[in-house]
Amino acid sequence: MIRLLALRELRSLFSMPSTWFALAVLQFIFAWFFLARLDAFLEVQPQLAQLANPPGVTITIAAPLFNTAALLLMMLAPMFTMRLIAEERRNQTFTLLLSAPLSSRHIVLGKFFGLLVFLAALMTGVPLMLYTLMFGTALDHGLLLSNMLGLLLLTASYVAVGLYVSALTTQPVIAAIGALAVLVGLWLADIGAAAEDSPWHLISPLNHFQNFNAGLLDSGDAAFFVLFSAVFLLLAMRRIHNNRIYG
Amino acid sequence: MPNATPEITLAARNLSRRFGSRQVIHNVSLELRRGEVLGLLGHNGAGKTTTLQMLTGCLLPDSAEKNGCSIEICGIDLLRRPTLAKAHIGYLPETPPLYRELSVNDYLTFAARLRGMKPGAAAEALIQTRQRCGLEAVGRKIIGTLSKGYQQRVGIAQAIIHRPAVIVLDEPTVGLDPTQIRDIRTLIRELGDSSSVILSTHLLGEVQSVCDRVEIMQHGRLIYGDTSAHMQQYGGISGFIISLRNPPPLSELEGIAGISSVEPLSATQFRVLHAPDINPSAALLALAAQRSWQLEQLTPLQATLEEVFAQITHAGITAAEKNATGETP
Repeated sequence: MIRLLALRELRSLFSMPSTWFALAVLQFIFAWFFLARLDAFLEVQPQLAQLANPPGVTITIAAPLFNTAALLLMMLAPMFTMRLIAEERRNQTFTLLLSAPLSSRHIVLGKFFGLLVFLAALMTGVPLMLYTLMFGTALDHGLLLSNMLGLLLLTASYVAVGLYVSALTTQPVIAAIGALAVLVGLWLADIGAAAEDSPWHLISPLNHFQNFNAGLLDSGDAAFFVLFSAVFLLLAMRRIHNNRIYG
Repeated sequence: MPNATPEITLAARNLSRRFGSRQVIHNVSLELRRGEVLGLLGHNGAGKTTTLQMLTGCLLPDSAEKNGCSIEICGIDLLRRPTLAKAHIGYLPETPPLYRELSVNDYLTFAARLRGMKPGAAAEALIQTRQRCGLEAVGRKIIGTLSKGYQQRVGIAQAIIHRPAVIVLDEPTVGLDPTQIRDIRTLIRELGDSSSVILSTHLLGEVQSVCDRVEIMQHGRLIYGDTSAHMQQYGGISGFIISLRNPPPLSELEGIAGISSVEPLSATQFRVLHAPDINPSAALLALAAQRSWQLEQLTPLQATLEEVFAQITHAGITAAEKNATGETP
């Protein structure tokens, strides 16, 4: 059932022109940024070679590229999550799901995985571009893998927040702005907090991504993402259940 | 036993619902057997849609335990085991729940699989349902590009594709042209042979043409329930409207046996009322031919929903009064 709902979500996404447009523009931005970093690296390469322990190509190109992708995703995820439930409510298609033999768990997880798969596909451009460097040099696969895993977990947490906000309202635009406010708010609180041990660092997804970005696999960070996503998914299920009570 | 009463497919008892402080539905109970078409008749805002939403599990009734309220679909408790019970329901809400960006085939297959059909069975059901709802030609079209009538048909198709025992249709013919309305009424009649159908409407004609039974709803209460044939008599005013190009004086018309009153609507049109047991139209036609009144038109009066309501609510009040006076010595 979850798979069926996820596939329906994907089918709807890919039948809309706006999806393809976003996909094209995003690939263009990534490619631009990738080439700019590559250019900069080639320029400073002679000086780097004189250092005792020079940073490699992966850390100078891949890490900033993934970091940009993570930031872009923060702006982009709400635009896709806004549709998930709010638009179904507005178009009255939500009744189909409510009157079907599904529990709110099926609905929420179906939508979550559907969009997660889509956003993951949207982001595959980044590692693909980086792997083209393999033709000319050796790459740090560990760093790339840790970045990819971190980006996937980060996406999951963004989708979960967006899904919950979308479940709260009937207006997709409100859902988009609400989710953006939460995500950007968490990020700003994180970079604004000066103290090293400020609790704002602990609850910001982007902060937990930094370890992955540097190639450090910390089970604490992974656990944070899983918990963060689970909480918002549970809240969304709760909200959909209440839909039947409050109308 | 060939004459066994068909099984009960839907039994709802004591449904109540309030939105905020406003009580919208008061203790509604309904029962439906296989092979029956029930019309839920009422004005806009009478609580029809809310009732149907509760019957399909989209809305929970108020405090089920306290009111002794229950909904059973094919013997399965909808409130306690919703996922099992909902597999037997097909629901068309007021606005058809269509994913406008999908093609008709994709959408209907999704609807079938959503109700738990296996892929093979869903493909078969798709062919059959498309044929039944007249959607063969538009299978590959995107739903958003279809006309309103076709969209409504897709809406009905999604409600019946999994062959549910209970089909709930909320105002299925709203916004359609007369031919489409006729087609959909024929389809509903067909559906009523194998499943049970509830449809809500504010059109009396719809009830008369498709329903076996009717429940009238007003202010969240069921105020009248009977077979639709009975209700027609209830609301039926005996009379007709005639147009005569060369009308005689009023008194001459009033003089015909059985006619109780004649009211001129224009120079050539008259509203004629008569006693319910005698129909003087034959006598009137004979006279018209004989005296060359040049009859153009004779239309029997159709009771409107207003009139039926007025009579039924009035009857309800007088019955209550009778009871009250009967009880007090």
